[in-house]
Amino acid sequence: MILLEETQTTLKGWTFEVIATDLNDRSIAKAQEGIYNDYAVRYVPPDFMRKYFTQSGSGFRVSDSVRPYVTFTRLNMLDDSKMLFMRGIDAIFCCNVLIYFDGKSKTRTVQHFYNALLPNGYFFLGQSESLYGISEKFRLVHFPGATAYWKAAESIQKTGAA
Amino acid sequence: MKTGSLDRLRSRITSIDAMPTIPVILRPLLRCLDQPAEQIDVGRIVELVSYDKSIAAQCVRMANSALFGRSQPVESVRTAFMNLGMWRVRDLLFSNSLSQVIPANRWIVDPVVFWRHSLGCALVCRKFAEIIGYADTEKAYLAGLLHDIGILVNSMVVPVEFRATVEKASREQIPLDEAELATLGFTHSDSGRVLGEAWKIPHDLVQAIELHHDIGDPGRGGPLVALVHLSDLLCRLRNLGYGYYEPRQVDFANEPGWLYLVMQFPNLADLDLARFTFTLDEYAKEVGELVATVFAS
Repeated sequence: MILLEETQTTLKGWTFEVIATDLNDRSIAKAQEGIYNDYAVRYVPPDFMRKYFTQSGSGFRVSDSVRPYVTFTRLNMLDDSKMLFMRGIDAIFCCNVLIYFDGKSKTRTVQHFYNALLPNGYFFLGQSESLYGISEKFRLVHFPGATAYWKAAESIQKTGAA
Repeated sequence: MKTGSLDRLRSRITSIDAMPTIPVILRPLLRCLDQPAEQIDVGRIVELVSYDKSIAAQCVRMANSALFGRSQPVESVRTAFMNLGMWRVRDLLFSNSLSQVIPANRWIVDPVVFWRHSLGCALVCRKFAEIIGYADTEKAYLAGLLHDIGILVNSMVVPVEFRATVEKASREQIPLDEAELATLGFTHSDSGRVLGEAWKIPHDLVQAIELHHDIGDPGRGGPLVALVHLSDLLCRLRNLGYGYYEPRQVDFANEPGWLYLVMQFPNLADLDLARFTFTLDEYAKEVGELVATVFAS
C-alpha cells in the first residue's frame, strides 16, 4: 500500500513486486484470503483503511487493487536450493522468525538474505531483534523510528563479497 | 564559529535584557551533582527540594503515577523520594527549574517536546557512558540535559527570527542547526555556549553544548562531546527529537564520534547497538511521564 502510494509521487514510473513466503501451507492459504482482524490492522492509518480495506464480517478484507502486486509462495528459508532463486531483492522483512532458529540456522538464513539482496538493499528484523553475534556483513543503520540492516555497496567492493 | 563572529554574538546576546537568567536552585544543584555519584550529598539535594514546594508536590505526584503503580498512595516527600530514587528526583529538579528559565508564553518550540528531547538525551548519554566505562556518568547526564540550552537563548533573544527558523526546519525536514545557520547565521550551539559561559557552567559542559552538532575533530572535545553528539542523534531517530520528521539514514558505526569513542573505549565495539536502541523506547515512556508531571502543574 505504501509502495502503491509512492508510485504516484516519489517512485513515479517504478514497478514492484512483493513476494510473501511461509513454511506452512495453511498460513499461505490464510494470507491469500487477505482478511485481517482488528488487532492486525491496529497501526494502519485511517486513510489507508478507507482506501485499501472493506469490512468483511468481523474482519477487514484487503482491496483487489493491492492483490496483483503480491505473490504467495511456500518457502523453507533453510532450503539452499530454493533460496538460490531469491535474487535481486531491494528489501527483506523477516520479523520474529529467526528467534525460533538455532545459531547455525540463523547465520545460514541471514547469509541467504544477504545474497538475495541487491547492493544497498535493506533487511528489516522485528522489534527487539538483532543480528548481533549472527552476522557482521550487514551494517546497522537508523532511520527515524526504525532500524535496518544495510547491504552497503562499498563494503561489497571492499570485501569482494557477492 | 569564528572568534570574531562569536564575540559579536556574545555582545549581542549579553546586552539584551531578555537573556535567560540561571534559576536560583540550579547552581547549587549543579555543584552538588558535578561529582562522582558516591560523593553526592543526598541531604543537600533534599534540602534544595524543600525550598520549592511545587517540586516537592511533583515528586509526590510522579511517585503516585501509573508508571510506578503502587497499591498504597504516596503522601510524603520522603516516601516519594524513596519510591522514585535519587536520579528521578534529580530529573524532576532539573526539568522543573530549567522550565522556569523562560516565561511560559515565550517558548518558540513546544516545551514538552524540548524537555522530552533534553531528558531523553541525558538518560541515553548516561547509559552510553556506563556502557563504555566513561568515569563521570553524571557529567554525561548533565551534558545531555543541557546540550540544547541555546534554544532557550534563541527563543528569548531573537524570537521572531527563531520562530521562522523552527518553521523552516520543520517544513523542509532539515536539522535545526542547518536552518539556524541559513536564517540566523549562528546555531543554538553557539548561543548555548554564550549562555553556558554567562551561567559559569563547567568548561567541559560548555564545550559539549557548543560542539554537539558539529564535533569536527572528535579529539578536540573529548569523549563527552562525542557522547552528547551520538545521544542527540539517537534520540532524534527514536521519537525523542524536535517534534518533526527528519528523514535521514545514520550509520553510527561510521560516525566520527563513534569511531573516536571506540578508539578510546574499545569495549564499545562489543555493544549490541540494535538492542541498545530498543531500550530507548523504554526511556521514551519514562521521559514522557516525567515531562507530563512537570507540565501538569
